[in-house]
Amino acid sequence: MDTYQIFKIILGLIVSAFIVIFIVIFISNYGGLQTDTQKAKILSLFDKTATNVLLYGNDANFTEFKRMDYSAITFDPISETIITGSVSRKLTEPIFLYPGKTLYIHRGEADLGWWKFYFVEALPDTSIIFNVMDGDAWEQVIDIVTEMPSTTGETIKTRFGLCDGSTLQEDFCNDELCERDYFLQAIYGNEGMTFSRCRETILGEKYRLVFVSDSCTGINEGICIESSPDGVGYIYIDGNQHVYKDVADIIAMIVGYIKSDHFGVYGENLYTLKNEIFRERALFASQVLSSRAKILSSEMTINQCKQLFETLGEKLDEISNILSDEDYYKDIDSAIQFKQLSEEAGRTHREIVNMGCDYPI
Amino acid sequence: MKGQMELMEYLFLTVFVILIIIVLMFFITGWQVTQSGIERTKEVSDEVTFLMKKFSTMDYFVKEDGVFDDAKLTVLSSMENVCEELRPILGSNWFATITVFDESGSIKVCTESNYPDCNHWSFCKKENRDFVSRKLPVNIYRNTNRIGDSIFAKNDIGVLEVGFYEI
Amino acid sequence: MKYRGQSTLILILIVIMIFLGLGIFLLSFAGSIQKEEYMNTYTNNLLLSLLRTDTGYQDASCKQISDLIGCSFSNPNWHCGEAGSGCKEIGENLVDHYINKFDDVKNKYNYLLVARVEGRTDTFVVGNESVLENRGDRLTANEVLLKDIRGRQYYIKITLILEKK
Repeated sequence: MDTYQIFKIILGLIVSAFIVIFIVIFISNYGGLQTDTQKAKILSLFDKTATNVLLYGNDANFTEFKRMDYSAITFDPISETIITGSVSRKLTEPIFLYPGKTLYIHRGEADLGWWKFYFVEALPDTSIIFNVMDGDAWEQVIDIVTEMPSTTGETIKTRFGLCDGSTLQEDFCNDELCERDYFLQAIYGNEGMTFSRCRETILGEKYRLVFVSDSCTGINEGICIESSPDGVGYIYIDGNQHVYKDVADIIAMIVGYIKSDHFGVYGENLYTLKNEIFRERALFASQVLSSRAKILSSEMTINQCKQLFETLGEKLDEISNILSDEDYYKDIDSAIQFKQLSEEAGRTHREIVNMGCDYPI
Repeated sequence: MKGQMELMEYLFLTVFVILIIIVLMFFITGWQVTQSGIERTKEVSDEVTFLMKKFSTMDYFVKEDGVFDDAKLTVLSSMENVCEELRPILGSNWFATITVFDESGSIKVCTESNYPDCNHWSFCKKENRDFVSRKLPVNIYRNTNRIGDSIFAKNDIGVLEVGFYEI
Repeated sequence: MKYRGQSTLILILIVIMIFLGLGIFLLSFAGSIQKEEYMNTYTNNLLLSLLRTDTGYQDASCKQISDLIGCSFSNPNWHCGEAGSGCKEIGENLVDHYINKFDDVKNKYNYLLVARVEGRTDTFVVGNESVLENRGDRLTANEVLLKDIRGRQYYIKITLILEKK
């Protein structure tokens, strides 16, 4: 081998090393950027899909999370942000997300009588078991289940069942837990029926257990709802007490359930998200609708409608006062007052509609 | 001389190969930048369309999808801080206008004092700014349309314009 | 061997030109795809808004433009007001009047609105009929109304076509 050959080999090696190092640095930056970009795009797409469901009420499937590590998705209630690794996305809508490979996205509503609050539930395959220990609470269970997804004909399922002591009632629907519509059909007429406390040990990890009882003393597992005919009461998650005043409070907790991370109990965090957004939106809605009622009152030619619009405006002002307190949803008396005023405002508005002076909400 | 010529040729060839690879790197980076530019333009356009859909379905403004409630619009457009109030839901740097196609032939901006004898509402509109916008045919529900002494609510037709200001 | 350096240079230049050309080719697609979704939404909303628009008449057969279209199948000469034209003519005039209020449509598109009932030969047509013959850049929106025509319920299929001028 002559000097020239050796020179060629050495120069070739140096140049190749330079090229390889350059390419590796370029690809590692580019590759890392691509993964984060992809995560950001998936979160953005989820936000858009869920917002479309919220706006139009048409349920949707979301399968993009299977392209990333969805188990790393978590939720920060203080900044109202979904976080995965170094990528995050702030939620501006009431979207109750439980991460999974494939999700079914459904819109639920809480009808206040004078306004409707819409929210979205995004769930993977889910099984929810009710343990109804108060025979008068079936109406409440029906109200909750009615706002949950109906997944008949879909590949992603939300199923419901009942637990009585050590028996898991799974034989409603061909030896499987029922989907929403069949479950509702099966439990109509159960009024008065009382079950004994469910032994949680008979249920596997995949089930979400919801106790419904007139008292939650001594119940520290799952979710426990202290039943109330007025729709306002206490709800317990993982032993922690909170106030519920509508079906959305309860559903937020059911969707998040007791999964826990450094941000706390997931169900509690979704409950906080719901109430932060609800308070802002309901306050704004009450102010707008109150001003609307007053402006229409001044234009009405029928005296009765004029007076009814004035009354509606006053009731909505009282509702605005309650909602101005950021912590109102944590206090049971404020929650009861809010509920009562909402019912009164709803009744007044229905009277206006019956007189032909306005359209239904 | 021949040996030196061969060496020079080899060196030139090596330099050219490195140059081609560097040009390729620049090209890929440049292409990515252009793609981001295209994506950004598409994103802005998508955002305007999304804002337009949101605006025409939100119950603060509408009676039903695509049908605005004139009393709600009047109350909202008269609010001093409506852009701030709507920021958590609609973001910032946007504007919207709604105009009714009536027989008056002129624009009359609605306020609480001239309601309902007016035909135009404006939200967060600023002058002398570049913007990207979209228009959409819509209906406007006139709550207190008078015929004689009676009130018969009716649907008028008009146009919604929604846009983002260029930052 | 004499022209080796020159041919390498030319090769590099050709490669650069190919990549530039590819970039320009890809860029040219960017503009056209975005607008489609928006214009489809626009056309659908235009048709929906038109049908929901009140005419000023309180008579149930003439209250909204959709009622006028139904009326033009059941009784085209029905008088909406005390005197004047039949509901079909009023409907045709109002549709044309309102569509021309939209500058975006008036300046850039020819339009055609057609309403048909299956099994009947009469139609309600407003606009430029040549739109049907041409195969230019088109946007279409469809709606179906359920209306009572002489005591029977019929589905009226309504199509709005916008064709770029």
